Amino acid sequence: MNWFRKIYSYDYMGHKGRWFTISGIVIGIGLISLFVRGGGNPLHGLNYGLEFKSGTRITATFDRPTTTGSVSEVVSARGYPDAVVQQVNGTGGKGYQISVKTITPAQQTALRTALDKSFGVRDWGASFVGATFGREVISSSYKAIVLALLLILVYVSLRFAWKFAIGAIVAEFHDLLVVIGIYSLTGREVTTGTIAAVLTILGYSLYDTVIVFDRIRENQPRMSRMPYGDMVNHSIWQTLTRSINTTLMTLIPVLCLLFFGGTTLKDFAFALFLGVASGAYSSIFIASPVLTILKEREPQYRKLAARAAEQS
Amino acid sequence: MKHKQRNLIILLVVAALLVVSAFYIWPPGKKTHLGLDLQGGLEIVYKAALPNGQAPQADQLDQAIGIIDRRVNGLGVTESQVQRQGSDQISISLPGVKNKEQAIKTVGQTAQLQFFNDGKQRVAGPESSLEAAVTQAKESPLIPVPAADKAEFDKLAKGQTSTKYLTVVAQPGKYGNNTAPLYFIYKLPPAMTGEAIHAARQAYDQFNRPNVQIDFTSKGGKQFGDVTRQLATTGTITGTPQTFAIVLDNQLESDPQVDPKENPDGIQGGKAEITGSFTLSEAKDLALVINTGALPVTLTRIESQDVSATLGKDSLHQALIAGMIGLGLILIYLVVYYRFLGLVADLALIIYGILLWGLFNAIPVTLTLPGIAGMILTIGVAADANVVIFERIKEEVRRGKTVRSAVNSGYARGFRTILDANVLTLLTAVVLFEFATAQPKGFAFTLILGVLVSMFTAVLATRAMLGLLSDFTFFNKAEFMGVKASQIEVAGDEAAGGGRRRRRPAAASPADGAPILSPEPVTTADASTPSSTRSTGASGRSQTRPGKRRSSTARKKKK
Repeated sequence: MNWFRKIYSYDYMGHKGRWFTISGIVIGIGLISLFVRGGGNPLHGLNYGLEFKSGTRITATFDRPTTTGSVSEVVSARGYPDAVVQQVNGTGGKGYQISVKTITPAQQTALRTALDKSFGVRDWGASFVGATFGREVISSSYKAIVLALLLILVYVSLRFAWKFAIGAIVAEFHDLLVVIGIYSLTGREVTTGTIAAVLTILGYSLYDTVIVFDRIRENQPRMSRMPYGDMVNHSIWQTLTRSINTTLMTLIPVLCLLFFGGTTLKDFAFALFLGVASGAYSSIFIASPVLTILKEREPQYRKLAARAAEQS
Repeated sequence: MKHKQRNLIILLVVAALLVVSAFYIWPPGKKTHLGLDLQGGLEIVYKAALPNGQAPQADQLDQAIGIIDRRVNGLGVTESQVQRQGSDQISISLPGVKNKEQAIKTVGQTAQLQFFNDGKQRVAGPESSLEAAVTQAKESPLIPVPAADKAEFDKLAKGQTSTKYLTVVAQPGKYGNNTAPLYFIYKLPPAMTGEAIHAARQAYDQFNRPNVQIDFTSKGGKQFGDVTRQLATTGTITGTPQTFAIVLDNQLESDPQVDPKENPDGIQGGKAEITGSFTLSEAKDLALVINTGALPVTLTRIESQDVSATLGKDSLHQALIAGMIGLGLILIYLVVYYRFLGLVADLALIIYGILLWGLFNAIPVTLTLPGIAGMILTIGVAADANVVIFERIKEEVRRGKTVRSAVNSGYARGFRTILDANVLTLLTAVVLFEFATAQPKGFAFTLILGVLVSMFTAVLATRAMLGLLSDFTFFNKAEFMGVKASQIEVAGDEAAGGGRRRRRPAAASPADGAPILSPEPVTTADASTPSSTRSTGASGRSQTRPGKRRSSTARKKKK
């Protein structure tokens, strides 16, 4: 367990360049994927779910065992060659999700009859989304994200100081970009649940950041003779156990949702998982270094740093 | 002991809340309101527009929502919800609804509110049956009708609609004090329709009796003035006050009279009051009915979700399993890692679960799948609070504090961190709640409730428990806090130095080799190490820095 001890004495601030690079690469790949998939427009680089487009989605289970392929065949034989058929798991056996363009209730009934003849429909549910709905969901989500970030900026500035707030916000953008990038890369469907999870992450990913910042705030006057970066290192070491444990405490239920939850819950959990993990990482490798960079520009800390450099 | 009393009171409150929660929870499964994604059902989102295609005003939308809400209530779906969504949308959720076709039809139809001048438009009634009313209309109508219209009455008798006459039914209690339904036939078109009405509300008359006040639109006010003037004039001539009928979707809702003495010139000014022997709820209902008729918008379906009951049950099972496993793992982890403190935290988590569940049922919150996700996430948030506090307590114990004072300062300091972290979570949850549409809204709401309840159980309740326990001597041992005796910094620890390794080097300290400056100003004499390092720092800070550097590089080489 050498590495485990090492993380309690690792010079996090001294190696910030390395971690910035790693984050930069991850985010860079994500951005490239957004551009490539979006055909030049990064906003189109995500696989938006049914809520954002117009269409009908049918969830059905069948009496007789079947495969995605055979369901797809029947559906396209009914005149919907573009339909996407996916398998979803339920405790009552395998279910299938059929996404098609908007169809009328009558067409829906016809499709059901066809599938019933082939596989015996046991269970049938349908969602329908009109075109305006999705646009509104997206625009209100953007507004919500901007407002949430502003509130965070104000609160952290008030409780800590504006330099802390900048650190926190940069970490937030980092987390957002990581999550969006991975969604684009994996082509995972973005649902309203994803958006809710992302917004939750905005608040919750600061948990670890607050833990570290709180300690930095406490140590600042006490270790005033130490270069700022060293003091931040100390603060990270001192709070590392609780950062790890709080992250675990959240990841455990999130992972359970990811593994045992149904389709909707998996959507939430995947985004939450990415966000919580990225949030824990960014509190140490993004938020704290950004704060350190800002603080080390102050004359008193510049002097301390210069003296330390002289002596070593 | 003051502290003891306070702690006891907190625990009593917790116990009382647990009893109340148990009352709300038991029997489980019966009292929890499940959303339609968990019990199956229908959700429809409509876009509302004015008949001319323009976007509706906020009050028109609210009015439409009220009307739809009333119709939906008529379907007998117990947990139906009609909500405004965005600026021009109405979302309707009907969990567990059986007849979906019927539901869609009922919601989308346009109800008709009509006013009839009883003296001039009532052809027949009140009669105890439709047949009797039709017979009366054909043989001895109350007002003269053309003989050719007899065929129209036959249509009514068969339950068909006519363009010239309308069947109206007065349910028990709507016409005088009738105990059985009464039937009427009115001549179309009505004297006025719901369009004439701006708003109606329940109010009180000068004798403080509940009544219904109606505001008409400017055009409607004139119409109403004309109708009532006719009624008043007839009333004065005949000596009997005349009545008019308020009819909603063929149902007689009220049959108020116009007092010719009070209003010899009819009721002018665009306002009217209906007084009578109303009970409060009757007056409210009538006001609602009058508002209801005037559905001011047309509705287009833009989204609908139809979840089958089995699918809902599946989702619920999966969510419960995921939640139980998650909770179980957290309980185990806390005990393994924090030993006795972990037990206290576990107890607090279980209390948290029960209180949150009870609160959900008490409010009541409709539990949806995203809501469950929010709940499961807050289990983590609740555990987080304990982790932060316990790490702080361990830190204090390691510095040589007694358990009791470590508990006190652990809570005092840990709370600040938890507060800041939770406020940030709350802020974004509130934003989410404000902006989001139906599904994420449930998630945000559970998150908000969860964070608030967790502050109570994880901070206040555990503090009270530990506070009480720290009065016992058996409890006053560092081992109980998960801190080994060897980890406690006492005088001479530094001399014993590097040889002692910690099981888990959590806080930076001299024995760790790395940092030399003490992170805490230790005031008491029992911890000589930190105070001695502090003096080092003060007298020769030049030695401090390189010392630290050396040791950390030395460590890296070792590994």
